[in-house]
Amino acid sequence: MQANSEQRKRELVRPIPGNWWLRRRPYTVFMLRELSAGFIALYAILLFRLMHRAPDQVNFGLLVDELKGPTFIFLHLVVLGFALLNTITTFNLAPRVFKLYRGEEKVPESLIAGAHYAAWIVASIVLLVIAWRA
Amino acid sequence: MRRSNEPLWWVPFAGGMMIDAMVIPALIVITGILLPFGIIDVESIRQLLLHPLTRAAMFVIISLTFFHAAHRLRFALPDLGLRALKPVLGFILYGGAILATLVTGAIALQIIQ
Repeated sequence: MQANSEQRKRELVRPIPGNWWLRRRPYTVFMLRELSAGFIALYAILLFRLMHRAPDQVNFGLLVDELKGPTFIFLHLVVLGFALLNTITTFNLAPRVFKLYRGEEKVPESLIAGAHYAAWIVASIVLLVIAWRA
Repeated sequence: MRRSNEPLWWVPFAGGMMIDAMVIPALIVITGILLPFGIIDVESIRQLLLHPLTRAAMFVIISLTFFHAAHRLRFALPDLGLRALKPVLGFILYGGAILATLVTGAIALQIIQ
């Protein structure tokens, strides 16, 4: 019985080619968004290394020298693209997650998304000012 | 019915998604342009990274980023054809995120160097 149902299950699985997500634009955007988290995680390794090396001035300087190379500049550009994709898709999705009501009235989706974009701009400016004035 | 552990992973995932959306682009501008091109002073950034508040913030960002990635890749990788990995993927990815969190915490507190 067990083996029989296992067998039937296997028969019902239709093979899907690995490149299914390249066939339609919405699927492609969806998959790139999913993968963006992986690229951001690779970037988090750099953040980790910077924090790790901070106590040692010489080692920290060597890592910063590495950042000047074309490889790191290229990787930063790639990750920036994925990070912006994550930012935009997250904020555009935010109104579906936070459904707010003012009395009976539903707060417009554009207002909720807009508030996230505004917070993002403020947070980015704050971070840049902190780095600038450190 | 087997109880799902999904909500447990969803909290750090959603937190990571939001924090990544808010801070990662600016951090990339800092580490990818401002720091290597000498627009901001290397030594002052190093001092900033020694400050306990900065290290606490870095710990939160790094840890949640790994949980964000773990949760997304857990579903994306089987969809990309790595179906054979599906039974162990959750264990590997969430386990990796937990391990990364512990190591990052120890580094942030300078318990290990």
